[in-house]
Order: sequence, then structure tokens, then C-alpha cells
Amino acid sequence: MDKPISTNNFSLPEVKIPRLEELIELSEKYREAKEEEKDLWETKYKPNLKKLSVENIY
Amino acid sequence: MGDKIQTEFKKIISRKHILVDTCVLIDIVTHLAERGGFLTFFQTLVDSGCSLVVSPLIQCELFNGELVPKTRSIKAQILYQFTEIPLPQEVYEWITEFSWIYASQSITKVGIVDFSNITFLRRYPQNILLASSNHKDYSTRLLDREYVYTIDDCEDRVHTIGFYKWNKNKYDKLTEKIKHLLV
Repeated sequence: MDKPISTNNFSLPEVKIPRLEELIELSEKYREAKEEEKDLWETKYKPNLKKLSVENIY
Repeated sequence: MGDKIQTEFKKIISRKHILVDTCVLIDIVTHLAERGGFLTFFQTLVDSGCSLVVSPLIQCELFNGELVPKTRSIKAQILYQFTEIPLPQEVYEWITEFSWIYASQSITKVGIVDFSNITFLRRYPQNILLASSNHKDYSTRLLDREYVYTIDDCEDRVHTIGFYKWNKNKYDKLTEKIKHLLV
């Protein structure tokens, strides 16, 4: 694959070529992690939130 | 996407450096796993000889809202696959100028990272296109929108990614109007 055109003294020290399969895998991991985070919020953090009440405030 | 449209798109982006805005990167992180339109989009960029570059400021926006170390780590690994380019040394001067230009056009609430992206376009007008889905932040009164790529098979919504380029004539006309304000 040819390198991109380089003019106006614009050249990159190292052109990275993204590894597509790796990116797809990371995307899958990210989606799973966000689902886990959502579950954690619903099951662990939200139930423990103290409800605001007059007694709590004063 | 039809073959004719794909050919037109490839012609515009061929062998260019594509500066990826945070919003597009977030969408890539989220939707690549669907193996649908975003995968085709990404593959087309790579196959067209594009170099995918990011601003040094992108990390702040990309990690914004990510509390859990695990998701931050995954995003860091994804970001590592892109080439980071240094900010032009004129960035501080030009960001101020762009904010004035935008104010003269009554365009407000545009962030510093968006203005800094425009500095790349100005600094390297022959080499770089900006890929962004935040169309309101990149005014065509200043820039040229060379292409709008549509992805309509995602789970959440239709995505449109604009490809923006510097237009010196537009810049000259706008600055002519406000030069008495610029110090």
C-alpha cells in the first residue's frame, strides 16, 4: 500500500496502519465492558443510593 | 453504498491523511463490533491508502465520562492504533482567530478541540481532511465539506460523517470583514 502524499514538509515520524481485527476485538470488549458497567450500576450502586428525605438533609 | 458512490468517495480520500474527530472515533469504538457499515467505512479508509491521524487533545475528550479503568484501558488500546500528530505551533494564535470568525457568523458553543482541529486543516491544506459527524462545529462558511458518508445500518441511528477541507478564499473573505477586530 502506498504511503499518503507528503508535501509542505508534512511527514509523520511513524505511520501506523490500524490492525482491523484487533480493533474489532477491542470494540467487542468495550461493548461488553459497558454492559457490565450498566449491570453494576443497576445491581450494586443504585440500590445503595440513599433516598433524599427531610431526615437525611437535616 | 453503491459502487459509483464508493468510487467517488475513494477518489476524494485517496492517500490523504484523515484527521479523525473524537465523535467518529467514539462511533468506531462502539460500532465496529457490529461488523456492518462502520467496518466497511473503516476498511475503505485503510484500503484507499489513508493515514488515520488524531490530535493530541483527543484523549481528553475520548476518555470523558469513562469512570471504570477497564473501559479507559480499552479506549487507550484503540487510540494507540492511530497516529498522533503534533499541534501546529500556530495553534494558540489561530484558535483565537477562528473563535472571532465564528463569533462574526453568530456561531457559538464550539469547543477548543474543534478549533484546534481546524488549525490542522489550515496548516496542512494539501494533505489533510477532517472526518467528523459534528457538522454544526465545522462551518462551511469557512471550510469545504468535500463529502458526506452515510452509515444507516447501525443499531442506534443513522450516522453521517463529513469530510472537511481548508478553503483559503473563504477564510480571506471572512477575515476581511472582521480585520478591524483582529489585533
